[in-house]
Amino acid sequence: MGHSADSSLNAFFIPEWGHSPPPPATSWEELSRAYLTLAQLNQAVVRAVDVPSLYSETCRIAVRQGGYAAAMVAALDPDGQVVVVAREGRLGPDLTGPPIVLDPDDPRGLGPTAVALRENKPCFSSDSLYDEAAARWRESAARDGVRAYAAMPLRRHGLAVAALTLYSEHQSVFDRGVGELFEQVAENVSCAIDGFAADARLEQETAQRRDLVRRLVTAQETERARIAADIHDDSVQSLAAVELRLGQLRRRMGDSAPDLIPMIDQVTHTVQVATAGLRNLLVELEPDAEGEDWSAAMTIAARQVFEGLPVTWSLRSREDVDVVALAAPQRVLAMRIVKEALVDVRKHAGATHVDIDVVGKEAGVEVSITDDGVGLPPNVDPDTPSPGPGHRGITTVRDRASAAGGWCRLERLPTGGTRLRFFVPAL
Amino acid sequence: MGKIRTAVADDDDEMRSAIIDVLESTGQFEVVCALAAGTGLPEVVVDTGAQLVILDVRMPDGGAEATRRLRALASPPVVVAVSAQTDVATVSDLLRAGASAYLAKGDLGDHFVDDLVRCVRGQVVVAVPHALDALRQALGVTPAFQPMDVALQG
Repeated sequence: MGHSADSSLNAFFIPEWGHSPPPPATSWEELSRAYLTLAQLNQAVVRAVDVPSLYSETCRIAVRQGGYAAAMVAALDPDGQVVVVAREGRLGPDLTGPPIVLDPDDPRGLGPTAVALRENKPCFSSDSLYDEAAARWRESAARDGVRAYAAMPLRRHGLAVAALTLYSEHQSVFDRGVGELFEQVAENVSCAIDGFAADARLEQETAQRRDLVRRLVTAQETERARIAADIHDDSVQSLAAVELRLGQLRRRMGDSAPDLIPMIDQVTHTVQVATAGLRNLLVELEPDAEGEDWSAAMTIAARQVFEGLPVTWSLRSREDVDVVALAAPQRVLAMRIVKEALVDVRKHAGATHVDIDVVGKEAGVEVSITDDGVGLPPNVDPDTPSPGPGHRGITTVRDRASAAGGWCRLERLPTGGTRLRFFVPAL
Repeated sequence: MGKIRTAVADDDDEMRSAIIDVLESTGQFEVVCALAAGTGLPEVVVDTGAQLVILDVRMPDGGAEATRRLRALASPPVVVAVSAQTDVATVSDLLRAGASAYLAKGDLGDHFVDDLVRCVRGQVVVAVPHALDALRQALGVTPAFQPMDVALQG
């Protein structure tokens, strides 16, 4: 919500003097105070943690340090209504009068705040008693003892979303020099508003990403559980029944047709290998044991993958990786990556030893899995996102790391073997 | 030795039927009941006087809990777990619960009936990958998940 920008220093509002003597120039004392106020306001801009505190601090400093009678920030609400969101000091006409509106044909839309918001440019008056521009507002200003005022639009992405209005009991405090200074203040506040908007957007995007990762992980885990159940309940049972009946057949054939035994053995072997493969797949599809710490969870994964094979492995946790508070979906993804990477080593590397190094960092967890195997085939580029057929595991690992907001790299080691490193942020 | 009175509990129809066929074809076993779940199994075992229970692990009311209930009976039957699930934790759970055997579905072979007879005679058969690990874990010989080499560095 806001009004289009039409501001530059050239558009700086120069009061149109009425039938009165021109006001005296700002004293050096006032200019110094204005500079000091400007410095403090800029500090407030840097320190502010959110927009409301920025507005209230700006008003507070303007009154207490700047010595102005009152300061106010009025903002446009989502419905386009003008709402006073911060105020300090003795009340000014904008504050004591009827609600501010933006309609220029409405008397309530004639004050400096309304003008600054509507026209998206500063509105100053050095002496509201004589300033022609303040004529229609003069009565209420006089009633409140306001002699000079300055209203500056505060912008988000160039659009006026609020106005900072300062009121003084003294004429001439807002001459061109001071006016330019305060326009700079307004610009700085606007920059901070843009910063907060960017922070809010970033936070929103982070939250969305976290939510997406959670949904992705939940969907993946649900799908894995469904696949595991299907494999267990259908394929494995059927194959197991066939294998059992083949055993029965073999016993019978032993006496009546011993020459058929080798053939039955061959069929049985094929069925057994297929069933064993599916049983391994069931283990790989198992969800990560909840509640286990990292070391235990990775130990289980490595044991499962390498049990029964002539492969030794070590697990090294540098720093206390278990204190790294990975969100649950991130942890599931990280453990999936570890398992898949280890399975990839088992299937392709021909390794005799595997080192698993886990480093807990404040921002997340970095894991490296180094094997002493045959290394990547010469025609495989470790930097290629999809190294080609037969290396689907690596592609999956990369996809998972990327989905978690992290990264995954594959290195060809000079000593032979391969190192896979990945990072998953804590989010 | 008379026929071994046997109960079969498996929620897969094909597997249950194959087990029954194989057992009955030998003439050594009498299948006294066949169930598709572990629900009510102890009662049926008491009623039928089954000496041997062939028990699926991953089915409703099956697994370690069913084994414990069966083994808690006054005349506990021999429990032989037959499952596609062969991870160390599950196998050791069943052994701790009192199963005499853990056999991997798809790797029963033509020695299945011989394995059953061994168990009825008091022997233990653990014919799964990593059986030693499962036994050690069931016996508490090593902590459940002892990393082979965990180095903590500051």
